[in-house]
Amino acid sequence: MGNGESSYRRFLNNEQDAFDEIVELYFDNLVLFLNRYLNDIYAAEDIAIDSFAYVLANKYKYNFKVSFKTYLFMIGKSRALNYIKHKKRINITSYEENENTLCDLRSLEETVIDKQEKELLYKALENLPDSMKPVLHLVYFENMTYAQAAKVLGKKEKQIDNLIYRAKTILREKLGKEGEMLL
Amino acid sequence: MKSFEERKMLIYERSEEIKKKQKLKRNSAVSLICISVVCISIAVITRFSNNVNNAPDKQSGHTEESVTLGSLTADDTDGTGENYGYCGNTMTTVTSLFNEGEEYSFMGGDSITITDMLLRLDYKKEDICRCAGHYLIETEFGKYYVNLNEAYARNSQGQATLNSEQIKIIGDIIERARNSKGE
Repeated sequence: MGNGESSYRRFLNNEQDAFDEIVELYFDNLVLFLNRYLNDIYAAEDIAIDSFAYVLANKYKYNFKVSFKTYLFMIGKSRALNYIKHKKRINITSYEENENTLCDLRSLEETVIDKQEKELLYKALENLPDSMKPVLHLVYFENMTYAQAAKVLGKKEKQIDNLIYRAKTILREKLGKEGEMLL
Repeated sequence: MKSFEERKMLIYERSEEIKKKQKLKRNSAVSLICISVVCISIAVITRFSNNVNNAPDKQSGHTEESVTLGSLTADDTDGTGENYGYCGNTMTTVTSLFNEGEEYSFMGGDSITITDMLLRLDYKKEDICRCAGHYLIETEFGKYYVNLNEAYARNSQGQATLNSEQIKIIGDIIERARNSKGE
């Protein structure tokens, strides 16, 4: 399995398996990232499906100027924010966590986090304000550069830098020196 | 959480839906553009034909819109001629038929007043007398022979009697025109 761009090029050449490869490569990561916004693993999964469907329906829109992952995460983030806005408008009551939900979430986390050996950091992120979670998720779990994270989140690199600095400060306060070492 | 196959199926299904929606949107946009083009064309054609119908008489050099005689009514009693659609730039020429053909041309309020007055007189074929006219008055809407002593105005439709007030007004206007020429 290659990286996103090479699979995408093959997808553009109508290679049937290439798109499946892309889904396999990025789906779980995208869901986990979207869950940072939504705190609803099923909604995150649904929006991830929507994002991939959009990519499939508009295969020539991606111009390779940014990494495919950045492009995909931008689509996902925009849809997640739309979802939140819509949810607020129609005033749906938030879902209640049940055992299945937690089980699904943990299983997804294990898939993405365990292999990256950053479980501690993942848990530490729960202590941070919501506005910081997506930034740290992109930088530390998706290994994006500040520039890529800035592109996905529609912020400036400096803002990303500041957010991470503030996150480190908060973690240091809450977890002691160990917290900062995680980052 | 859905299985990989379920996700794939949903992605392909939703992608088809997105394509259908986009196609529908494109078609609506094309229809809207076509309707707009047709409306604009109709508006341009209407405007053009209105301009042709209301085109000013090039020989007289008038640049403002004039009206046809058929649209005139007797409702305009204020003497300004504004209801008829002509204004201060209407030109009147008075030729003295007994004074070696001396001509006085004038515009402005006097021109409107005399044009308006002569236009709305009640001309009758049967009332034509044998007396010669003293002045030939040429207005935007026609030529009139006027004799202030015999108190009549005559045009191709017949002859109309002038009352003392009208005689005074026409006389004063001619006098002013003569004086302004002398200056």
